[in-house]
Amino acid sequence: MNEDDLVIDAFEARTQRRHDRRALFTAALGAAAVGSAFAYSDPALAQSAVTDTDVLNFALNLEYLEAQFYLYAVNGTGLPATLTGSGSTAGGTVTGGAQVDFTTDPVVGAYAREIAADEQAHVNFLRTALGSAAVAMPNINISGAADGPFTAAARAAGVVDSTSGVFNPYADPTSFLLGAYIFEDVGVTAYKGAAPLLSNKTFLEAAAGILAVEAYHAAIVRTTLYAKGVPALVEATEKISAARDALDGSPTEDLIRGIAPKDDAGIMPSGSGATLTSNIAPLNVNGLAYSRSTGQVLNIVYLNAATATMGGFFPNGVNGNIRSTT
Amino acid sequence: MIDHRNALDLLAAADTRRAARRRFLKVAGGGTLALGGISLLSGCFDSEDDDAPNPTPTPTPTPAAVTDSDILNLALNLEYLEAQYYLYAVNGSGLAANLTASGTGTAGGSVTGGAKVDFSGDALVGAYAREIAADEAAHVAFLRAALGSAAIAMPNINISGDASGAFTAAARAAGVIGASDTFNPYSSPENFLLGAYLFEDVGVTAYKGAAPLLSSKVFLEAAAGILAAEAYHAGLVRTVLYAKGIAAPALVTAAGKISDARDALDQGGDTDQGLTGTGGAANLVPADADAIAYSRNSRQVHNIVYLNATGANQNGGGFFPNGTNNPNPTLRVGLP
Repeated sequence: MNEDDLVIDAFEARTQRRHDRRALFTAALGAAAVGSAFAYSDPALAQSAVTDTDVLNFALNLEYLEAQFYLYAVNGTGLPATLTGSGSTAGGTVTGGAQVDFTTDPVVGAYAREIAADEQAHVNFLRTALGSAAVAMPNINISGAADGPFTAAARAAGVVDSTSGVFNPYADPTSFLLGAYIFEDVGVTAYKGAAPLLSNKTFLEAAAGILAVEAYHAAIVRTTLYAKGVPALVEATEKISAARDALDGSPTEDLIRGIAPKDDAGIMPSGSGATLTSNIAPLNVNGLAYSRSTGQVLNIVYLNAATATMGGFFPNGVNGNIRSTT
Repeated sequence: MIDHRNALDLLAAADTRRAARRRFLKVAGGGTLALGGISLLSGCFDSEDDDAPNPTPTPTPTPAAVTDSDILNLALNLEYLEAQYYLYAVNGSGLAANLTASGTGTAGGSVTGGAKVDFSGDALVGAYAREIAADEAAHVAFLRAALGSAAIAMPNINISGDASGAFTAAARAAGVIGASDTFNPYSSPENFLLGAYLFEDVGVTAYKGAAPLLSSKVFLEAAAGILAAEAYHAGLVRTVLYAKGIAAPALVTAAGKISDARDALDQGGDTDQGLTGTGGAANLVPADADAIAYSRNSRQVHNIVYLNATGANQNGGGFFPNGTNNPNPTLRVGLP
């Protein structure tokens, strides 16, 4: 870039500067949006003025769930009681959970151990940030039995037979990966949808940092599943994604904020041969990850597309002020 | 609910993400482009937006407050670099001229180097390369559309794999190769992955550092969306390198050296991590003790991409031989 170009750019920049913010908004949002307040995608939240504490506690509930799943898979036991209670309130119970035998796939075992440590660290971080305001862990169900939420989810998705199939994510490393698949992209979309709700810049930066880590996790799981080269696994991810899509409703599309009726995608590649293109990162046409509202996230973890305050992985609902799907 | 769907879409957005990726790969080398949901109010420019050059040299501007536009332009420079690298690796050619010019028509800079990688021996890595290339082209298009007339032109970029190129300089400095050796990221799928490794974690830390500075909640959410995308990419590259590294440990060693080099360049303590941790455990997620990703500020990011080990490249060098472009001069410099 030569001196003249720099001068031209500087000149343009100066004349542009006082129009910058307005131009940026009008170009991107349309004239009507300038000066408009940020619109919550979930109307229920708009009415109740969500606090940072509410948002972090919502995240904490999800981290409790993830941490318990991964810790059981790796260790056969979950979070210690010191990381699930709040004040004099003991943490809830965990139904199910079992150690996975990773001897046939030690690399996946290595990934599982790393992710488990990360999720426990997230629980610890959020509890520390919230202090006495942290909610206790609610009752959690991560059972792989016929009457557990993994089976319910798998039947609804068509991954196993809809009336008699059983999905046990602890049965083997590949089943574990599919169980992880159920959670990780949801974590990404949850943090992405929640980040703009935070007022405190420090919490916002931390949420962005956890968002990034959940995306790293999701990429590990999706890449590992894809690289196995087993069509049935790819199909299973497509079915799980379609099921999540069906559970979380059809919000109006917003291609800048990443909101969409179809906000999930499996790892089915496109093209073939010299045009084969993977789909490890589920992104919209702008290359942006999707956002889910808290209500949408709860639709998925409660395994209920309708209005609900409990179910699925949280048989008695999550704790805190953000607990309903609508 | 703010309605962002625009009545002035020049082109319809693709129906599905997968179809969109195929189109980006084709059109990034020329032709029309799908823009996702962003109005280009091209008729709204006023007379002050015409780009008649000012013959009087501009005095050094006093540091201005950083605007959202400045931050998005900072991101755009990095996306130009990533997009060019991946598009060349996949197609043998880069972004079309209409995707590198400034928002007011100033032509973009030149690209030195770049070559198509032969992925015929590694179909999966080729698939990953095509996916990432399409995503980075989409990021360039998105940021340009969001910035409109404020979009900065692409600066000169060096992605050369020859002896005098930026990759060789980086690899020598990191000790990945000897002091008189050459590193060509286009010569094999593994080298391509190492080249990608160099960029992706930097992208994550850059967006993490910058996103919270945005005033607009909408663009904060969008920046978080790009942050997540870069983390998916980085996770993908790290997973593939780690898995390959089981049979080829030199890959893991090389990645570790690149991480160490970035740590040295950003002068910010130990914020970069290779693919293995204590006792050789998998470390696919570079994060702190709270399992939170690291941040880098603009100066630190620039120090890495300028390969500014001594201060001599504080204003340009490495992958940006003449520096990045930004109306705000504080967002195009490295560390002293």
